Amino acid sequence: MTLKIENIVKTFGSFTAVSNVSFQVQPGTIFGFLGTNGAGKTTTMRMILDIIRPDSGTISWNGTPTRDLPRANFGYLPEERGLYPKMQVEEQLLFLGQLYGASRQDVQQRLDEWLERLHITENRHKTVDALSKGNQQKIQFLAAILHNPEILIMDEPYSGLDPVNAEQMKDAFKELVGQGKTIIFSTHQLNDAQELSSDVAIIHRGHLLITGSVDEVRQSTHEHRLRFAVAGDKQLDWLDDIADATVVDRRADFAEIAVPNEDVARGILRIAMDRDLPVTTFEIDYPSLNDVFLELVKRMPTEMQPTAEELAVPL
Amino acid sequence: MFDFQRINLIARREVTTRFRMKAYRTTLIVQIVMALVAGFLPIAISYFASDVTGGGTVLVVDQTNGDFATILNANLQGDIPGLAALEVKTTTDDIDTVRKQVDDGDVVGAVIVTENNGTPHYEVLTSGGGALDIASIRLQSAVTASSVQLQAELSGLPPDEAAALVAAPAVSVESPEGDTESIADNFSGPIFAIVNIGLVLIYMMFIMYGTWVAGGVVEEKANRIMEIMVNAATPRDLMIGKILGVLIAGLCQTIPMLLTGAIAFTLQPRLADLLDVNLTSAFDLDFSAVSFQAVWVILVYFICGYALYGALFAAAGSLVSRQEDVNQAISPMLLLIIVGLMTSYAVMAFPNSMAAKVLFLVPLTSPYVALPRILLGDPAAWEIALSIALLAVTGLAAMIMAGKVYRHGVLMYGQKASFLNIFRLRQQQVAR
Repeated sequence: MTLKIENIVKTFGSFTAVSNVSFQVQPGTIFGFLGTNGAGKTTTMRMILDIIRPDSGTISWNGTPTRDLPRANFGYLPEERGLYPKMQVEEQLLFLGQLYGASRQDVQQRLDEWLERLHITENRHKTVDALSKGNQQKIQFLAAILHNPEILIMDEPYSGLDPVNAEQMKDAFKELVGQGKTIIFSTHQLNDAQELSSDVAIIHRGHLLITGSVDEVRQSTHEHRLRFAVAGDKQLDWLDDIADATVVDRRADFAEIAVPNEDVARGILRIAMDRDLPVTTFEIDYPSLNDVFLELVKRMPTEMQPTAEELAVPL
Repeated sequence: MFDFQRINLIARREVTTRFRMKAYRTTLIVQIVMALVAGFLPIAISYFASDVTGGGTVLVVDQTNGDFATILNANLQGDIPGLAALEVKTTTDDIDTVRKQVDDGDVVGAVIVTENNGTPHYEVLTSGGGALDIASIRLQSAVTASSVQLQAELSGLPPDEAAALVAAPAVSVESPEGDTESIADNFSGPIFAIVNIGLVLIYMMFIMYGTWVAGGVVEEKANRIMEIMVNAATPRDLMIGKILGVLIAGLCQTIPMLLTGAIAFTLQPRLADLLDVNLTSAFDLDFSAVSFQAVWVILVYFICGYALYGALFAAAGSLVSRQEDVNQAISPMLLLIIVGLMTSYAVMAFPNSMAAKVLFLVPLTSPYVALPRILLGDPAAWEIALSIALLAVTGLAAMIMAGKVYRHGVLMYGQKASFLNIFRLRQQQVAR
């Protein structure tokens, strides 16, 4: 039971939206699909859903092409949210659940449970346009899951959500995965991807940069990151004199330093101790997914470097 | 090929949504009121304009002691089809008394026949007064014919030959194809009226329902629910469900209007008796003149024609993203519908001409042309079968093609609607 995307290519006229992309999603996991604006994430998701078809390559679930699977297998939360604004919440969700092929009774039962769980039961008979944006997002999410699909495709599920609602959504994701569902989601919010996903794929201008478990991807550059802070010295200018260490970010709470290995990081700590500096933060970690992305595109030809527009929404 | 459960679900949502729209309910009420007004129009016309359409008595004062009144009476019978007959009565009252009767409206009019040096002179009086009053025109025309007839009889012509002299000739028109038809026959009578009403209804329904379909598609694109919908169901099922739902919602609006109009219309003879109004025969629509068989055949044309135009409207709607662009996108379809209506009027004049036979087979015009061709003309059974088959196949092909355009169109935002775009879309590989 694996979702296999193999060598898919999609062009629109002379523009190649997705170029020879392959990755696998294990069942019962959360898979993060990352990339800048226009990277080809939505096109790939639409191809998985068979809304559009690849020019070449195959997409299969448990060996069966996704195009041959019943619609009820998929739940979809598109990036551009959309519901019937003048239709009541319950009526709308029942309609969409049945449209996917589920029975009215099953949808009704799950609807009652989930409205309760997301604390929006009182909105059941309201029209969608009478709801707050956050609650509309929740209804949109319910529209994707009430028919009990095996595979959930969520395009930017957290965009527009306040922290409380985003947290509820994450809990819902975890619960669905606990029920054996497979979730593929794209996001610009790095922390969410690292927090929730077991595996990720990073795509840039239609090309797959890397795929694997979050740990594998973060270790792929063979670098480490040291988060380091000393009380009373935010600048830490002396770090610039240390060979093999590069300060990549001077934040208010700590400095982030790129180091080739843990020994260099421990060397920095030793210097601080020798100087009797009050070290408040010392944390060795792997580069974030964002750092990995930037490092990988840095290695690409000039024409593949991300533009300011692509990076406008940070990965 | 089609998922009827999903189509049913989509159609039901469309219908219930329309029912809840204030504009829909308002239009329903307005249409029923309009149907009532139209249904009672004949009796209103007869009641308020009885001098125009109604019959009555015409007095003849003949000071020549001839037989003018009898001849005039004969020439007034059936002089203008659809108008009630004028009844001639000879009177010996003096001219002033007759004049007063006319002025008071006791009689429709009077003709005073005098003689001056052997030459007859006719004075026509009508209660309407003017020379262009309908009763006056009828009388003037009949007096002229009667005078000629009387003079011919006085000259020695037998009465029947003298009558034939002033009788209206039978004029028939030959079409270039050699068919001999009478335009007058096709442009009068109950079937003519039924064809006319039918054509206007089809025109109205195609445009109104088509605009609903296109507008509905654009609305779903604009509020972005379309992306979920195309994941849950095939675009073809979505499109067919919408077209079907709009048809049902539309008919729920149109049928009450038609029933109201029909009931009002059939109540008129009773109402005429109650109001003591002489209902003119121009409004005597005998619906039994149209066979049930013909009604069913025309319904098949309507359904197939609606499927064809509905698919085209849906495809056009899928190519734009904003309501303000809908009119531009559907303008080719509106043009086709207007052309269809116009050609039907031409066919009405010559329902058995070669042009009528060809237009009857062309799928874009046959839903209209079927009405005059079947009800006024004389098509062979194979012609009807071929015409319906061509329309049905084209309707199905349009559904399939429009479904492909729809599939791409509904996910296309920001691009301009054009035939070039449609062509480009067709080049792309189509899913599901």
